Amino acid sequence: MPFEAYKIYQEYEPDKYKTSTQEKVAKALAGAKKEGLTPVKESLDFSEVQEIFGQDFIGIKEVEQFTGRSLTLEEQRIAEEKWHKKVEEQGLTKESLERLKQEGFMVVLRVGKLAGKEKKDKEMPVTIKNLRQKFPLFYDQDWYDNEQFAGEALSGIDWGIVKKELLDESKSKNWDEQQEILKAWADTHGVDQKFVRRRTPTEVAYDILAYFQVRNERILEKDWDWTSVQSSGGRFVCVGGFGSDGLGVAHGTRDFRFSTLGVCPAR
Amino acid sequence: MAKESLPHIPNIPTTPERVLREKKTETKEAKPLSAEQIKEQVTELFELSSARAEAGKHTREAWGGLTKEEREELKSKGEDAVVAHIETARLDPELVEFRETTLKEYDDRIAELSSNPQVLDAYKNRFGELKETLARTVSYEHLRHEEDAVDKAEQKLRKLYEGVGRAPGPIERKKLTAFSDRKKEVEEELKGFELDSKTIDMLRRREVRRMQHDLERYSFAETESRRELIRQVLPDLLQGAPVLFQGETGSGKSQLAKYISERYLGKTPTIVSVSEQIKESQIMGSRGLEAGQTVFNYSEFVKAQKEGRPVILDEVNLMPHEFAGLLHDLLQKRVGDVWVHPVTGEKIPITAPIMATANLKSERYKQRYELDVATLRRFIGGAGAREIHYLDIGKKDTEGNPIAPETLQILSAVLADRHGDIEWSEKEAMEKVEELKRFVQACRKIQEDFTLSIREGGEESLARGDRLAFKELVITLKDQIEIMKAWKASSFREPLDSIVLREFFHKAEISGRAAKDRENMIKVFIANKLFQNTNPEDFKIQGLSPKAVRQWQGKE
Repeated sequence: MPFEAYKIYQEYEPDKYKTSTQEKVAKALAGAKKEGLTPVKESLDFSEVQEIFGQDFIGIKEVEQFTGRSLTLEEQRIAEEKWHKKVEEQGLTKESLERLKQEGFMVVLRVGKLAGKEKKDKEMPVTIKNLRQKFPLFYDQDWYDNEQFAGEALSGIDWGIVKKELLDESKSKNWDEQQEILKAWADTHGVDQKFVRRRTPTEVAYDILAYFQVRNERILEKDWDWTSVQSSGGRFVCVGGFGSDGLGVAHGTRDFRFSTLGVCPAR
Repeated sequence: MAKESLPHIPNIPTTPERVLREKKTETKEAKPLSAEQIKEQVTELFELSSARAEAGKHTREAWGGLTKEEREELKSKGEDAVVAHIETARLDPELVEFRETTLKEYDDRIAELSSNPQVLDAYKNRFGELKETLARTVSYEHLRHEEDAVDKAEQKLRKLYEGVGRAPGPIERKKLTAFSDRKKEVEEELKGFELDSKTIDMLRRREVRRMQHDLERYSFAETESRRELIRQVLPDLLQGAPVLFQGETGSGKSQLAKYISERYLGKTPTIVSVSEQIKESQIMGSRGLEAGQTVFNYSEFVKAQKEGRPVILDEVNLMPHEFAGLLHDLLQKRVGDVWVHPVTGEKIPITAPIMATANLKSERYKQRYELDVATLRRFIGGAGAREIHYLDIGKKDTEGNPIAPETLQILSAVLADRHGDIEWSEKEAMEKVEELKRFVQACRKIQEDFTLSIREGGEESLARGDRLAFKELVITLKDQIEIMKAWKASSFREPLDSIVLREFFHKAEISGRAAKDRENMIKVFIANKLFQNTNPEDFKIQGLSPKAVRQWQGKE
C-alpha cells in the first residue's frame, strides 16, 4: 500500500478542508461543553453493555476465542468484579457508554495469558513477543526484538474502554501536545483526567489482534497509536499500521509529528 | 450539494471490462473469496488498471504512434509488412517486443482477476464511488476557482479606478457590488459543501498533481506565500506596471517572474541578463547595414515590447546607472500608453509589463552597482519592489519550533507518482518522513544563516551563538528538488544522507572553493542527525578536520 504524499505536509494546514463529520463533532462538543453535560447515575446491567456496544464488545466469549484458552470460573468472577469497579470509579452510565459507542469506542476484556501456538505448548503471558509468536500477523521487523517493552506482559484481567481509531484532533501533534488533548478530552467527557490514559504497546497489539481475530475487521489499518512506553533510545513506541502486510511497531521522538500518528484515548 | 447537480462524468466501461471484452472473455463463477481476498484483488486490479494506461501509451510510442487497431491491421497484412513498418519508422524491434509483451501481461492478469464476478463487481462499485468523489471534488474546485476569479475581477476593476484617480460612477458601482454579492454567495455555497474524507483525499491528491504539473511545465511551484505575492502584484502587472523582485541567490526570483508571465499573462517573456558590461545597443538596438542601406535593428528587449511580451531584466542591479536612465520613461508607461523609441521615433503601444530581479546586497556584490534610487522609485510606483526570500524562512509552529510546510509540500510532489502516492509502505513512511523533515530542517537552517550572513556582511566573525557564517554557498530549493529526484530514482533504498553527499557535496566540489561554507553545512546536517556514520574523508572537503567531524557526530 503506497503512502499518500500529502500526508507529509497536511498537518500544517489543518483547517484547509474539513469533513462535514468533523464539523458536526466540533459543534456537538462545543454544545455539550456549554450545556455542562454530566453523567446521570443509574444502575448498569452488565448485559446492557453488550447490547450497547454490539460488535464492539470483546467480552469473555470473544477473548476465549482469541486467546485459545477458556477462562476459569475464578477468572470470570474477577472479570465481572473488575467491570463493576470500573463503572463505579468512573461514574459510567448507560448514556455515557452510548455516547462512547457513538464516538467509536470499544469495550475489551484483557487477560494475562495466551494458549501456546500448538495444543501441546504451554500457556504464555501476553507480551508483544508472544503475540507475535502465536499470530503471524506482525510486519516483518526486528528492531524491537531485544527491546524491554516487547517482553512486558499484561498485568492480568482487566477491562479497557478504548477508541478504536485515533482521536482526530490528536493527529499531527507531538507527544506532549497529545497529552494535553487527552486531558481536554477527559474534561469534555466529564471524567477525571487520571482515568484517561494512553495504552501500552502490549495493550494496543492485544486489542487490535483480538478485534481482528474475532470480528475479521482491521482497526488502526493506516494509523498509529502512540503509547506511554519508551524504547531503549528514549523514543515513544507506537503500534498500528495494521494493513495487509501486518501490524507495525515503530518509535518516534517526543517532538515528532505525523499525520497518521495520534492517540486512542483509553479508560 | 445534491447529487443531481454534480458535474457529469461520462459512463464509460472500466479497464477490466474493456480488457474482458477485447479478449472475448466472460466472467465465470469461481470459488467464493473472503472479504479480505476480494479487497486485496480489487486493490491489485486498481494498480494494474492504472499502470496499464501508461503501458499502453509506451506501446503506442514504441510502435511509432500506431493505435491498437492500426497495429492489428498492420499485423493482419503479414510479417513483411510489420518488418517494413519497423524499418521505415526506424523503430527498435526489441523495444517493440518488450512493450508489446508487457502490455499483454497486464491484460492477462487483469482478465484473470476480473473474470471472477465477485472481484469485478467489487471493482465496479469502488470505481463508481471514485467517480462520485471525483464529481464532488470537481464541483468544489469549480467553486473555489469562481471565488478566485470574482475576487480578481473585482480587484482589477478597483485598480483601474485607482489608476485614473476617479471614483466609480453609479453603473460601475453597481458592477462592483455585483462582484461582492457573488463573492458572498460563493462563500456561502462553499461553507455548505459536504466534504467527506474521500473527497478531501482526492482534493489533496489533485493538489499534489497540480504542483507536479507546474514543476514540469514552469519549473515553479505555486505555494501559499507565492500565491499571495502573485495576488498582490497581478492587478498592477495586468495594467502594465513594472515589478522588481529582490532576494537572495536561488530564492526563485527569475522563476517567479517567468511563471507569472507564462501562467498569468499568457506570454513567453524575453529574458535579458544584465551585467556590468551591458551595452546601450542591447537595450535599445543598433544600427547596421542591410542591402547597402542603413537600418536600425531593434534589440530583443524592444522587440518584446513591440510583440506585447513581458521582459525580465535579470539582475538589474548590475546595470550601470547611465543605462538605467534609458529605462525610466518606459517604466512609467502603462497599458494603453505609447512609448516612443528614442532613436527611431517609432510609437510602440504598451501591452506588457517589465519585470526585474535583483540580488539583495551582499559582500559578493558590494563592489558592484546597486540599483539607483530613481529606478527603484519607478518600480515602487508600479507593482512594487518586493522581497523574495527562501520559502518558509522565519515560519514557526505554536511552540516556536521552525517549520517548513511549503518546502515539504513541493518536495512531496517531487517524491510522489502521478497519483499522489510515494512508494513507501505505511511502516517505512514514519521513518522516511522523519528523515525528510530533518533534511529540510537542516536546509532551512543553512538558508537562514546564509540570509543573515548576507544581510550583515558575511564576515566569518559574524558567526555567533548557533548561527554559522555562509559566504557564497547555500542549498537552494532547486538543490533540494534534485536530491529528492535522486532519492526517488534509487527507489528510496539509499539513505537520504548518502544521496545528499553524492548529489550535493560531491557535485559542488570546486577545488577547495567555499570550503568553510561546506564545512559549516556538514555541521548543520550532523546536528540534524544526518551523516551520523559518514567517514570524514568521504565529504572530500579540503581542510576539514576528521577530529571535528567525529566530535560533531558525538564519537569523540
